[in-house]
Amino acid sequence: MKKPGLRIMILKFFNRHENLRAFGILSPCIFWIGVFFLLPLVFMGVYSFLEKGLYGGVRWIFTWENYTRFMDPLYLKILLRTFRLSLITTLILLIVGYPMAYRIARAGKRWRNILLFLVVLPFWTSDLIRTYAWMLILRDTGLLNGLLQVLHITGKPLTMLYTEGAILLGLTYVYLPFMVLPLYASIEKLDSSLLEAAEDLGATPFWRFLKVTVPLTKSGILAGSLLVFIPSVGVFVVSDLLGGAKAMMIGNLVQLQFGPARNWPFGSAASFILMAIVLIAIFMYLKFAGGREALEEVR
Amino acid sequence: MDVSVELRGVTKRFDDIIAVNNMSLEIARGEFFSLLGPSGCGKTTTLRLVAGFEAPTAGEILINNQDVSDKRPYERNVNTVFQNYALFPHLTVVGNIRFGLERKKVAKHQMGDLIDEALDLVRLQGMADRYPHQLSGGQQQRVALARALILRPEVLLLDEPLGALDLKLRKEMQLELKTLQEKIGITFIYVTHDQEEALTMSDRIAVIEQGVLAQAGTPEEIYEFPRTRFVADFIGVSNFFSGKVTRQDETSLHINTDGGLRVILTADDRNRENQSVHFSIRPEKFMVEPETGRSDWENRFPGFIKNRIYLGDSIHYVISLSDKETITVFLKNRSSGQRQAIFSQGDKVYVSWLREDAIILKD
Repeated sequence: MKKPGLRIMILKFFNRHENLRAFGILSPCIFWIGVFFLLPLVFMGVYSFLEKGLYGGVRWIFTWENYTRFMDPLYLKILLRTFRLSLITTLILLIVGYPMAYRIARAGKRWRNILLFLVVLPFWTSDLIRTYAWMLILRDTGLLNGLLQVLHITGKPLTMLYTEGAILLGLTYVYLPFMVLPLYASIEKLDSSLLEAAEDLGATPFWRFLKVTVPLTKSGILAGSLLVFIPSVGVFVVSDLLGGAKAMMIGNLVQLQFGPARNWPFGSAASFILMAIVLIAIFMYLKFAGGREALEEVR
Repeated sequence: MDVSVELRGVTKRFDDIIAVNNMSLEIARGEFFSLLGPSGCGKTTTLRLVAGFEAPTAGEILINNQDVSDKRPYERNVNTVFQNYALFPHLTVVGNIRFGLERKKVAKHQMGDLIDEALDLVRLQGMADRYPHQLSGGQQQRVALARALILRPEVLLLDEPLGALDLKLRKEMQLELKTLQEKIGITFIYVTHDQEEALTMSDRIAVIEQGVLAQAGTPEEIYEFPRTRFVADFIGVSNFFSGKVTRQDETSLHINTDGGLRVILTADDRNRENQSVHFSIRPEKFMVEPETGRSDWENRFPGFIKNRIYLGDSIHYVISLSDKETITVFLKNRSSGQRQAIFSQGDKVYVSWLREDAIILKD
């Protein structure tokens, strides 16, 4: 009798061990995450407790130093600024993105596709290039200042580049689609007869929005906020180009430590602190916003 | 008449479609009024115009003698029970019922009483903390009803509220709705495409054809005296005849039908001499005799049974009167003493009717 091939053997194995099937299907994904995400994370975790070597690299001596060093007001200030800017970015995008998503979701079918296409269009170029474009617009001799002066609105150039305002502008610009798309998805599913019912029961447009529209699109609001907040906290291109050294964010700090400063242990520690705080923040946000249960009920 | 809702020449146009065309209606306070018609006839649009979800292109809508044509739904003392109930999925039964109350200035303790009362009214005690998706269709329907009724509207609008329920539940709810309406005395405007439902529940019915009011009246009026062919056809079953008036005197019209029957009908006040005329007769109005029958009824014609459907309590016959005229006749299955009333396919019979049972139609 011919020996069964490998394929048959694999099939047989999974037929007999049903509970292992899921692993079989997910194995490429598990491998990928394991090698390219978990493993580096473990390295960083280990590095964050080591001393830095003289010329980069690490010395295998255990220390808490990297974490205690972060308690310096200088770094805490960067951390605080990072969260403040990310929070403001998320809020601005909610305020800007919600009406936008709402209008797109309620537009006719043809317009809806065109508008969605326009929302995604900026992805066609790298956000590095788009951020550079903002530098050209915002700098002292840039387009905006030129225009203001030509129109005699201002006498001399306003300082717009390398401010927190510039970072906010860049962040809201770059992350707008991440807010609009999940909001769109949840608003589009909203049953318009529920809005009519609310109005019928005496709700003014504002009350209706508060009591029906927002609760029923909560999943989109939560998803959009997280999709914007998390990458904003870790951003470094936007803050590097538009914020410069005066408005450094934690992403820049990490990049600095792994790059020019050659202090991998401290960079690792900063990353871990950031990660821990983000996880706690998300957890609290979902808990506070009643995420899980509320969403379950809506379904 | 104490008018609750009035439509004055209301027209609603969507782009190039006229959904409601110059409709005028008066609905009395406390009346159970049905808008009846096939789907797409404009009955739901009419309801939405009264609710305020649509603004009329022309004409006025008055509620309680006040022009509300330009008022938003939340400014009108009108509430709606939606076809799909439109319950808020994120709110419990109580949350749904309380929704409208929160906008009215009702004291806290009073609110609790009102909600209990509303739950009582629709028999949903014990369901207060359920979410809509945990309720059956009938229960959801009752929540929608309670949510609207708790606001004590001048008018309650119902858009095919029983459409999604199964037949048995629908029958139950029809009775329940009717009883409820009589108990609370609020004007109901009820949209349905189910003629039987409309006949069962309504004080008056408006039959709508392609955005135009075809006829409004009590169920009896609509059934016994349909004004147009559409009404006669849509409500119940009708047999239609056309012919020409050969002679007209003070009391009778003599008509030669297209199939060659010489028919005598009651004359109305119009001069129809030499004009063509259409009339209809309900299937249960005919008398049928066997070939050997010797009655001297007028409008008596020979025919033969083409087909019969035995339904137990009644029998439906399809009878051919001429090569152009085939009628449907419903006969009660009477006591055995009159068994001769049961015929078989192919039997020759005499069919007759009283002249007042034929209704002359407008078109």
